[in-house]
Amino acid sequence: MKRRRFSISNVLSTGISLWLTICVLAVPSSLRAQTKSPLLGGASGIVKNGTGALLEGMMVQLVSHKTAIRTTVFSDQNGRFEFPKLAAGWYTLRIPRPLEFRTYQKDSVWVEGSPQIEEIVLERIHPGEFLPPTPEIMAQLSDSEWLFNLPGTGYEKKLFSNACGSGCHTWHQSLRDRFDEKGWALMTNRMMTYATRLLIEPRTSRNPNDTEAGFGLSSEEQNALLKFLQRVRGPNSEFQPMKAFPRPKGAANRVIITEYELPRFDVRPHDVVGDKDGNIWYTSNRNPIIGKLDPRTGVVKEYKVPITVGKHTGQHWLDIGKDGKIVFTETWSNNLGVLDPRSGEISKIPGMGGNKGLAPDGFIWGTCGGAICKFDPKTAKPVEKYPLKRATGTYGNEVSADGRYFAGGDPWQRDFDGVVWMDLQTKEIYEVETHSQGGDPSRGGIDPEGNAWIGGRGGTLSMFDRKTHQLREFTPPTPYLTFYEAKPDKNGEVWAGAQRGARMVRFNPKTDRWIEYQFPEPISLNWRTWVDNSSTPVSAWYGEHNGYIVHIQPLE
Amino acid sequence: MANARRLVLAIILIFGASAAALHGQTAGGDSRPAPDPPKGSLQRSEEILYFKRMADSGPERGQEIYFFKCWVCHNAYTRAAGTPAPPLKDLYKRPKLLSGQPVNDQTVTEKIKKGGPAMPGYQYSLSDQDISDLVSFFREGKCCWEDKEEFDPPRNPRYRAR
Repeated sequence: MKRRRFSISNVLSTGISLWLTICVLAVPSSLRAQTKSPLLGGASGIVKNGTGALLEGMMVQLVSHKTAIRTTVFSDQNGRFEFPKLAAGWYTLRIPRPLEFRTYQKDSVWVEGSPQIEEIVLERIHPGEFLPPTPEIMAQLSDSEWLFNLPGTGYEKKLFSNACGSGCHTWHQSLRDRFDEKGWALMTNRMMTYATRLLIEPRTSRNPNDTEAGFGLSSEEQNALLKFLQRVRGPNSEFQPMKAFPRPKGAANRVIITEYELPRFDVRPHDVVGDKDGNIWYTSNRNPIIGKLDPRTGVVKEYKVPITVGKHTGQHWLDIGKDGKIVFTETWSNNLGVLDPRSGEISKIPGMGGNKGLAPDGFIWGTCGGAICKFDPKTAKPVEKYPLKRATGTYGNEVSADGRYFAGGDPWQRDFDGVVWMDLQTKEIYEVETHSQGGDPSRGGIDPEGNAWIGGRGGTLSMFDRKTHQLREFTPPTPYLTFYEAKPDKNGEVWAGAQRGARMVRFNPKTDRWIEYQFPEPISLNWRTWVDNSSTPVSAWYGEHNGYIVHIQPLE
Repeated sequence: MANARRLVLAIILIFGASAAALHGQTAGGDSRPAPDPPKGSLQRSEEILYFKRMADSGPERGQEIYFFKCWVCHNAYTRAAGTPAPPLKDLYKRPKLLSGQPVNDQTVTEKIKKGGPAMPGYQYSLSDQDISDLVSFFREGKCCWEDKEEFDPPRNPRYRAR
């Protein structure tokens, strides 16, 4: 029998082999799957608390000193996080929305390649289940969490959500205030009896046929809403200890969220859309500026839209024609605009505002005078009309990518809460009511099967099934979310900015699975999502009302 | 033994490189630019909720409070549509308020706090500091939002991409 020789090299080789094997086996399968994503490969680390417990669902953010671009990733069940490869440079490392933990921020961290970031240990400063309503904590909670924690009945809170969640402002703005009874009466009167988001004109002076009060509220409901606000936000009201919603788990953590600063305050981005060169265009709802963001550098080029004297500036809908020209509407001055990116020239045609659908042939679809209308893009005038029987009009207007189908949502109409869908080839029209009768379906999109998906301010996603002609509604797991829109992707999954909840939902109708991607900022209004179908997996973009552009890149 | 030496050397090099990378992540090197971290709170919601995006205090902060709390009723567009709220531009150049009282910090503060027949009183919504900043916005002739700011919005100092 040959006697085995022991040497340093043998011992070391065996030891290193064993160590490597243990390391590989010790890495959970979820992490191995995660690190395979080509989107990752940058700085990584671990988040734990002071007792050594690994923290899941914590946001970890790097803010570039050079470009101010913010990149956020999430820790998994092992407390591990991993960034994408970022440009070498100085970054600020921070934990957004730490809630029960002390603020964590390191101002100068050099990132180059794939460094291991030193362990992030978070100190818990608020013990127990509930958080004290300090100014710091209240600023870290979403609209939905504010409403969830307020006293009040389900009836009162849903009324508030329906009326005050229609999209004009955040709930923080209303619920941070306290007024006496007269003050709340004046405030709600102004909100309900004046028209459009800017509340410039009384509803009836703007349109004699309009209802006196908006949001489809009856006089009893208006009164109940007023009493609710007078009671829960009266002069002596105080916030009680707050219960935060759960941090994300599993797939909701496998995402990268990137935020791009814009050159100006208060441009109030509304719609976004990507062009063939990878730029992201945005409209500004409150200013005469249309912007083009280059995500590779974070640089924004601004285009000044000519002003219509006497009307507030600002745009709304945005799309790109086959000729590469940017098509948009001006929402307060009611103009159709076209921007030529090559020359920067902007032309405007009066008579068209709001949201419209751009067909592949260049014609624009929407509703007018109680009918579905096809508009000539050169005149903004209808050239074809298809009368509706139940809906008086649609808020959002969508045309499928192949130009075959049209769909739109009709919110706030007291006798019809539903979706309008039309086969533009056969001219068949369906007007289908929601089962909830409180969905307030608004804007959306049409999936590859021809089904319409419309996000509703009542908090549901409505789906018109092309084959059965039935309407289905889907409600997300988190309470008090509202939707302004929805956008199906190339795979049939649906993306929607959940206003109030500081998150974007991704719904798979084949599996009924919801993934909610939470944002680093709790005060958030997402008007319009644009899905980039050029990548696998797809990614989503939106323009944040508070002045920056957000990119959501799932890892799966 | 030569193999063993090579192996030990390789391990030293690997660990040495790792240590250098870890050191570099916080210490910085000579060829690197100086760090220039962004100023202020990086939790945007704190600045938004407490009107501190533009300034921590003073007329610039007052401008933001004006935009969120006053503009909706006092802007030029809605006045043209018949809203009774008076314009607030050059408020301190006027001899008196609509109530007949003289225009000064005390009367303007009182008006903001108590409101009027068509105006909610903000005494429970805005702090003394909020109202002081808002009054300074009027007093120093900075009002109002709807002119320059609408057509040429203020620059965002956080924007750094070039």
